[in-house]
Parts: sequence; structure tokens; C-alpha cells
Amino acid sequence: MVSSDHIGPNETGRIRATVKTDGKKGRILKTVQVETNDPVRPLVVLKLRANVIDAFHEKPLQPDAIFRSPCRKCHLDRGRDQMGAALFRADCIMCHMRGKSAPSISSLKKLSRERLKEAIEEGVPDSMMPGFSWRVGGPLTEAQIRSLLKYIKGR
Amino acid sequence: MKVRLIGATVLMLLLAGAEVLHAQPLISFESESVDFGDVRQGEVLEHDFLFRNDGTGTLVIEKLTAS
Ligand code: HEC
Ligand code: HEC
Repeated sequence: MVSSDHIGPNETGRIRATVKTDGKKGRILKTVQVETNDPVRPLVVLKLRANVIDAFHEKPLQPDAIFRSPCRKCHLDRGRDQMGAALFRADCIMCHMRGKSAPSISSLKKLSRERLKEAIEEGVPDSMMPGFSWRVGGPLTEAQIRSLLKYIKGR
Repeated sequence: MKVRLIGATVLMLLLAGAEVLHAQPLISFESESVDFGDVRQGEVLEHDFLFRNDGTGTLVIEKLTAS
């Protein structure tokens, strides 16, 4: 990270810093603390800033786009052949968690079984909630949807 | 005369010693912060912070901590 750790008078040096932006979003700040034998400034804090733009989640989005490439690799593929809790974590949690646009699982639990089933199978019109049933072009089988209802209501 | 010479030498040595004692490093960065502006998620950003030792003693980089 540093070109040399002993720098004579009038010599120059270089500290190379790298910042990874995987999974980051919005304004980010990274710091590098430099401790030296300089008696006046023994600590210098270097700052690196950036505004990370998440190319996949720029508006506007189609709700059923998550069923297709390039969205499905994060939003669906891990849920293939899964049931219940594992399926919810793979396919639903990214929208249905605290701080996200959709109601959290504890609010979903309060809904009737019929309402849950209808929303999961057919989606919610004019929202980002797509219909997940294979009958409307979604990825889930009847058995998978039943396992989700059981999981949500059982919590 | 001899005594004076020795005295002068001692004084010079003392001054030289004081000089060494007072040799201090002084770190000075070209810039201490950078803003990359808008970047795409997934990119790896890299920046070189350039600095110079503007003091009289050797500068030792003792520790770097990234967070
Ligand atoms: C690299 C993995 C990845 C890809 C590709 C991806 N997403 Fe996401 N998506 C996530 C994650 C993780 C979250 C939840 C955390 C977050 O919002 O950052 C999320 C959240 C969302 C949300 C909820 C946002 C909110 O605030 O409620 C929507 C809607 C969404 N994605 C749609 C899409 C669409 C449409 C695509 C394809 C154009 C897509 N995603 C591609 C990983 C991905
Ligand atoms: C791309 C984001 C996204 C994904 C993925 C997603 N949902 Fe949703 N869901 C939403 C949003 C947003 C709403 C709120 C719609 C509204 O009421 O405006 C919602 C609403 C719902 C509702 C109805 C809530 C009500 O109040 O009527 C249920 C039930 C539901 N989601 C279950 C699920 C389940 C189960 C999964 C996984 C199979 C899932 N959702 C995946 C975004 C998502």
C-alpha cells in the first residue's frame, strides 16, 4: 500500500488506496489512517469519497423484470426448488425487509390467508409486487406457494 | 590556547548533536482527500496519495489502517 516506509528529507512517497464498490449504494466514505514519526502530525487521515450508482436498480423498473435476466440471478435463481423459509429468504426478503418498499414479514402475517394467496399468486396491481404463480408467468408452483403461506402464517 | 580549541570543538560537537536531535520529519500530502464522483456499482476505485518529507529527519510510516 505504501511505496517505502522510510522516506528521507525531500524525498517523496506514495500511498495507494483501493475501494471496492460491490454491494454498496449511494454516498460512501473510506478512510486510511497514516501513523508516522512526524512529531507535529503523528496521524493523518486520508479520505476517499464516491457516489455509487446501482445500475440494476435505477428507476423505472417493471415488477416482473425480476423473473428475467439480468435480474433473476439475484432475485430468483437461489429460490429454485426451495420451500418455506428458504424460499422466502431467496425470493421475497430483498423487498420485504425492514427499510424496503414492501411490508415486512410481521405485517404480512396479519393478513388473511386468502389475501396472502391472492397477492402472491397474482401480484399487486400498480406496484412492484409481481404475480409469482406459474399460471401468470411467475416462477412458483402451487406447492411452493402453499409452503410460503404456511411459513408466513406460522411465524 | 589549547583549552580554547578543545572548548570550541566541544561546542561544535554539542551544536552538531543538537542539530541531529532537532532533525525532524515533516509529512506533507499533495492532497488528503479525493472524490471519485459518480461510479458504477462493482467498480474497483484506486487512488495514489502523494506525499513528501519536508523535514530534516527521516520520516517513518509506522502504520496504515484502512476502514
Ligand atoms: C446483483 C444482484 C441483483 C441484481 C442483478 C438485481 N437485484 Fe434487485 N435487489 C438486490 C438486493 C440485494 C436487493 C435488496 C437490497 C437493496 O435494496 O439493495 C434488491 C432489491 C430490489 C427491489 C426492492 C427495492 C426496494 O427498495 O424495495 C426491487 C424492486 C428490485 N431489486 C428489482 C430488481 C430488478 C427489476 C432487477 C433487474 C433490472 C434487479 N433488481 C436486479 C439484488 C439484485
Ligand atoms: C421486487 C420486490 C418484491 C418482491 C421480490 C416480492 N414482493 Fe411482495 N410486495 C412488494 C411490494 C412493493 C408490495 C406492496 C404493494 C402495495 O401494496 O403497494 C408487496 C406486497 C405483497 C403482499 C400483499 C401485502 C398486502 O398488504 O396486501 C404479499 C402477501 C406479498 N407481497 C408477498 C410476497 C412474497 C411471499 C414474495 C416472495 C415470493 C414477495 N412478496 C416478493 C414487493 C415485492
